[in-house]
Amino acid sequence: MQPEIGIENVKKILGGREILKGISFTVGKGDIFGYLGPNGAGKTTTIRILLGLFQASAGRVQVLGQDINSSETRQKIGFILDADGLYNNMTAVENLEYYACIYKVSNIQKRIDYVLAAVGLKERARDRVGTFSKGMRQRLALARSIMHDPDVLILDEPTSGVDPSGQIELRKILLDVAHTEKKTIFLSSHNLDEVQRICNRIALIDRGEIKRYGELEKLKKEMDRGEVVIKMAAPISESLLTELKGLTHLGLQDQKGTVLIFSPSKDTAISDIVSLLTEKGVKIEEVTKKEASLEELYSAIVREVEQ
Amino acid sequence: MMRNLTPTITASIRNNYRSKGAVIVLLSIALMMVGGLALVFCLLLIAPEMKKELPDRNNLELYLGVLVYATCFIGIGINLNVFTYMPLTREKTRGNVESLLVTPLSLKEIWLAKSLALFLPGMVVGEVFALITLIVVNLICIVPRLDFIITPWVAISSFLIVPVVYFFSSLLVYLIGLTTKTTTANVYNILFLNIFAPLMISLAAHRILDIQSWPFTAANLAIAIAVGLIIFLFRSRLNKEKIVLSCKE
Repeated sequence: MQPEIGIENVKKILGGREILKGISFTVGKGDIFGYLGPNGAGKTTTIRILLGLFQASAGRVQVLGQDINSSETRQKIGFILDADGLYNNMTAVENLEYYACIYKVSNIQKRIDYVLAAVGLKERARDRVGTFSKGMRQRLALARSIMHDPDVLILDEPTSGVDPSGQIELRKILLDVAHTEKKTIFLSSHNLDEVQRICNRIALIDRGEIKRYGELEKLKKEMDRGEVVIKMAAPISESLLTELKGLTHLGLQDQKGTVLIFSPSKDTAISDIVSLLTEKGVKIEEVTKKEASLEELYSAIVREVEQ
Repeated sequence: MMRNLTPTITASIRNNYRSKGAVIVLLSIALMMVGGLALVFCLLLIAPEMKKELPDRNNLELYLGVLVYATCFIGIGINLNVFTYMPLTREKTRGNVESLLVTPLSLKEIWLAKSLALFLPGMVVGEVFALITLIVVNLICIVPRLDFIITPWVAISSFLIVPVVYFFSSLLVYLIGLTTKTTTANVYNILFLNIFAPLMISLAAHRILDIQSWPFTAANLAIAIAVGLIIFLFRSRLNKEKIVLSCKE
């Protein structure tokens, strides 16, 4: 199946500096694709290439199977850039009307009512955008991006600069839009929590190179060291601790008070550890399997780069 | 194409001229300059001529011609000077321009629409002021003794060619402003108004170029063509990447 967004070996040189060093990835239909990386990693440059604002120095870029420089393709894309591009002297409705005219949206008023309701700004429809908070501006920018019912949304750090409650609200709206309007979303961010909450696939970029790319759950599994955390009623004795350390297949990593952390070998089941401890008279209160987080994945990549 | 341009022209005009302060500044400066000019011409040139037993119609046509031409040139020019720097800087820093570049509008459509949004209100101001000046000066100073004075070449130069000159200037201003720093575009505006307006007015006032004849109109047309040629030569500079990078400067 043709990917909605395809980037193949794309390089970008700006001012003699190689900003993108041959990046490749695809975004499938219906994906919420998180594009993660620290500041200056090349996220915004990638987005500008995807939106046709920059020409790639080398490589191939396709959105919806077409060249991004055609106006037909741009008609099917919604976007939020790092600067929202809203007109302060115009009201929310006027801003939307303007873009609706550019995109030749039919039944403009109905559509404006719908998108304003979707982002929760119906009450402020007739207010000038200059009076809006950052969170409201971003919501309006999101409304503008879905105004013409695009197939793909390309969003450059849509929650950047928005306060935490505004971020939660915006994320909820974004998820609603993705599910009810069935959009493919390409979302750049340096907010790991945000990406972890809403994206199903990710690419991690650093210094112009894609470091990891794929399904978020798979990547997390790759990173998963299979750690098991066991909470006991009381700390175990030194002799038992030494004995457990000697059983290498259990992979005892650490003891913190009443908590033991194991990283068992592949053929050792959690139930084996639990049985063993019970046999030794240890009273177990809680057993949890620790899952790798995106934060750990991200930190691991940063460490790799630094090494 | 006009259907594509209209929303951008309307939105830009609405956005540029919504600030009452800016509109008041524009109209005040235009009124002061044009009113001052009309007063000087009436008191020092037209009135003394009309007091003569036999007023020289040729002189009156020259005075009125220069006045109407200068009013039009200055009226449109002031608008360009007042409304280039701030709105363009604002649109570039707030991402309005970058956002428009992502829409289905072509780069040329955006450029043309923005230039027209800058030029059209100025043209209205300049032409209305020039028309009012022409009618008022005629009615107050000339008509009581002679008939209404207006020569065709003055009308063509003032009401037709001067707007063409400024239309090309607006295109050039936006070409410069979009691809480089906005201040560079503003420098062009200031230089243009301060060099070409006095130059053409002096040439007419000293009768080096007869304002009532076609060579004066042709000279104005030559300025428009020269500006058009500059645009043609530098049109390749207009590309999205240059614009986006200049927005970040």
